[in-house]
Amino acid sequence: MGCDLALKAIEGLGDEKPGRARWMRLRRHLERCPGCRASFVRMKAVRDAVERMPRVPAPPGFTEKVLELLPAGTPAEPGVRERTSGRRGLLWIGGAAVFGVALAVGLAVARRLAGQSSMLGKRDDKLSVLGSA
Amino acid sequence: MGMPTERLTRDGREDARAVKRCRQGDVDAFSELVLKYQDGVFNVVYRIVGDREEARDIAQEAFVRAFEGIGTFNEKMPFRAWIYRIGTNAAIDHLRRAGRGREVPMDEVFDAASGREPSAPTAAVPENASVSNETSALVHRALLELPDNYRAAVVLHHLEGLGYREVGEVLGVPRNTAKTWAYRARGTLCRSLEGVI
Repeated sequence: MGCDLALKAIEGLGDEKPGRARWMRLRRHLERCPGCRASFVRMKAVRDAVERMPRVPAPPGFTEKVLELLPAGTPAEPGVRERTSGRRGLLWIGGAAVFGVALAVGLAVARRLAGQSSMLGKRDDKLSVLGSA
Repeated sequence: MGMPTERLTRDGREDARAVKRCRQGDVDAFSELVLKYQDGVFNVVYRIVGDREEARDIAQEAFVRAFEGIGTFNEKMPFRAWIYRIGTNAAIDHLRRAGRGREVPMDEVFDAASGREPSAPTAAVPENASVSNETSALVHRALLELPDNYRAAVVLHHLEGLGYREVGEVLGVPRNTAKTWAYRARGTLCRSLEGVI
C-alpha cells in the first residue's frame, strides 16, 4: 500500500474502521512510514476530540421563550392553505367567465340593434322613393 | 432531495403523532417537541455560528418557523431531520448575512500563545469531561474556520451522531456529498490542528 492509498484509508477512519484486509495493509504501511503514522495519530486524535466535545445545552428558559414567540392561532392543517388559494383562483376564473359572457352578449345585442336600425333606414329610403313616384 | 426513503423509527412515529396534535392546535404537543430537541438544535446552531447569544436567538427562531410551517411538514420525514434542517439553514443564513469569516469572539477562545483563559467557559463542561476545556476551545475555533457546509456536516455527524443519509436530508444534499464534506472537514481540521493535537 502506497502513501496515497494509506492517506485515503486514514481519512476514512474518521467514520468507520476499514475492513480487516485493508486494516492489515494499512498497519503494515504505518509501521514503515513515519509520515503516514503521524497522520494516522493526528486523524484519530482530531476525530476523538471532535466527538468528545461537550454538548452545549440550550440555556434555561429556552422553551418558555419559544412558546412566547409563537404566533396566535392554529397552524394550518395540510391542504387547507391549498384549498383556500384554490377557491380564490376559482372565483377569479368564474368572474372572468361571467365578464366574458356579459361582454359577448352585449356585443351581440349591440350588433343586432345596429343591424335593425340600418334595415329601418333602408325601408325609409324605399318608402320615400315610392312616395315621390 | 431530502425525501425520506426509510420507514420512521419508533421515535419518529412518536414525533409524527405530536405533529398531528400540533396541527390541531395542541401547543403542549409542540412544547414537548421543543423540549426534546432544544439541546440538539441549540448545539448545532452554536457550533456553526460560534456565539451563544446569537445561537439562542437563531435556535428559538427556528422553532417558531417550524411551528408556522408545521402544516407543510411531510410526516414521512423524521421530525428531527426537519427541525435540524431549519436550524442549520438559519445558522448558515445568519453567517452569510453577517459576512463569512467573521471573527471568533476572543472571550470564547483559549489563547494558547498568551496563556489567557476564556472569561466564560465555551461550554458547561462537567467534571468528568473526557476532553479538556483547552482542547475543546481549540477544536471549537478550528471548526469555526471551516467552510459553513463542511462545519455543518462535521457537527451533525460527529457531535449529533446523525448518519450520513440523515445529514444529507438536513443539508439538502445526497448522502455521498455529505460524507465528502465531512471527509474534507476532517482533513482540514487535521492540518489546522497539526502541532496542537
